[in-house]
Amino acid sequence: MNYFLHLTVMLEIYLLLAISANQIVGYSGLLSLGQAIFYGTGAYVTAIATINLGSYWVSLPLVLIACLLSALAVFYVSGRVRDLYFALSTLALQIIFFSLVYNWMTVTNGPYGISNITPPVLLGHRISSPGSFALFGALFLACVVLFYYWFVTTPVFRMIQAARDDQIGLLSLGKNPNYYKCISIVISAVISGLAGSLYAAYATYIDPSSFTLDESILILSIVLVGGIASVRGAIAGGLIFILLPELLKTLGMPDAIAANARMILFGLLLILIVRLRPEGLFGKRVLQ
Amino acid sequence: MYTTALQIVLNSLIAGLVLSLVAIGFTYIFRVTRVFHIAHGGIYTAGAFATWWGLNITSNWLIAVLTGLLVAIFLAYAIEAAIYLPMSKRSSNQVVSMVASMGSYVVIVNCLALTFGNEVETFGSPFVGSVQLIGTTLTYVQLVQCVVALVIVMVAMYLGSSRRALPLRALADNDLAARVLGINTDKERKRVLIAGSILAAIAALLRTLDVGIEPQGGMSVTLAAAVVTILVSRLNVFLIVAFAVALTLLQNVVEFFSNAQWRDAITFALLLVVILFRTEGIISYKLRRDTA
Repeated sequence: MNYFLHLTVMLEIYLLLAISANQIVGYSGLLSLGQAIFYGTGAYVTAIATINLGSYWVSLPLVLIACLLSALAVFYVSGRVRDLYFALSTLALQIIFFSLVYNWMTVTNGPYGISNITPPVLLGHRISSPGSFALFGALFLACVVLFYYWFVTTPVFRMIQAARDDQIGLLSLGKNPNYYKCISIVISAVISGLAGSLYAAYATYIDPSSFTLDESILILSIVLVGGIASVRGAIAGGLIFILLPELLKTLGMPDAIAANARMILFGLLLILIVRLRPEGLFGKRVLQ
Repeated sequence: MYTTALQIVLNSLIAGLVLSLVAIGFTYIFRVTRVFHIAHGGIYTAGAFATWWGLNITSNWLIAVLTGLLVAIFLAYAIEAAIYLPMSKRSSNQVVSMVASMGSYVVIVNCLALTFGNEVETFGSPFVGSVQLIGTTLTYVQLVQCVVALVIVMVAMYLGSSRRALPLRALADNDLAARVLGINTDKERKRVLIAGSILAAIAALLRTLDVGIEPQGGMSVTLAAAVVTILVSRLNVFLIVAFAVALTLLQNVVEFFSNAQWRDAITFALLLVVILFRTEGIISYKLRRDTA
């Protein structure tokens, strides 16, 4: 039962990450290879603030501020270019971010990571068991999904899509496409940061190996497989990624092989999707 | 201090020459096929592992090296025929082809991990020992790396400026015009992918003699080669080699004064600076036309 609940928590974290990546890739049309920057920022700010300030809840506003600032930094650097060069600049930022958390011993404790992160306390109840965390994560996820139900009806959301589809058209209406790209990156960063915060509180230990380029590629793959420009697609991608190894285990495959087999299947799925169904399984837009 | 500086320069020169083999392949593939060929890292590693496997089975270096090269050629051909070429015919843009390349990389690397394990494998190099040169120490492996890489670079320079490279240049400049003028673009694409993969497999073999190989080991080398490609942004073998050596020197100096983990950060900070402030040198008119 505990294993099932653990899977649920991990699923919630990856769903948040997939939804956040979908914001940039799907709604803004920018292929980001740096989602783990925001994920890591959320996790590290939670870890450091929780340990030093004593409360998870105090760390949450700090996570939002840190993610906002990191999103602005990413936008400042990568917002000037698009297409392949946007992807390359976010890739470069991702590698710089990893080097920073790996080497900044006084703040992040480098490769040793940060342990003993205090779990959150809600209404006097300590959230530390997988069951309570699954509910806690579901709360985060529900907030984000509800936010999207509202957000997709707003004019800002339509402007974000317009900035993706026709920049010159948007400029001719007197709007600044970069402004909407920036909003999109900030929203994505905040959602990734929440996922990182949830991960740090759940794992109670973080180190730089969770926030590498591989993680960013993985997050991107989840969205592309599930389908871009659709929250449903992001959720489908997350479900496939988390449940695929369980399916392999039911076929009698040992854990050590299942991890690689999952990545092989995921890689093949990525190739097939790009070749045969560029909009992904449930996407509303073709990857261009 | 003088000896240390000289040692760093010599080490950088040799490692830079090896990196330039990967970078030459990556640059030609990127410019000719317009694919940001991340799977190059997978082919690099596969070549090294195939050589290691061949050596374990036969104990014969020639057969082992040929096995490594054949595996690299097969993978390059398969990726081009099954993925890149159909996507190119469908006019997919660079981002889409990069995603497909990323998928290929993930598949190759995990197949290698599944077959050979995640540990570092070494050859047990036949070149053991070192020589003293003007107060510096160079291992025999470094000398072999230097000689082999230099010979290949010379050949690449000759081929790069010969008539045989003209179709590739034409294809890099304007693929449609090249096709109209009778160049068999499909064949040229395959040629460049296979040649680039052979260079990657040789570079992997040379590096494995020194530091061994692991399934994930190709990504960092490929990314460094990609940085060289973006910095150079031209089909010029001499410039690619010069930039590869300069980049390796910069990495080694950073490593000497701080620590190894800052190497990649400096490399990619340099890439960012170039992308931001030398955009006109990187994103040429042609590229913008392609992605519009």
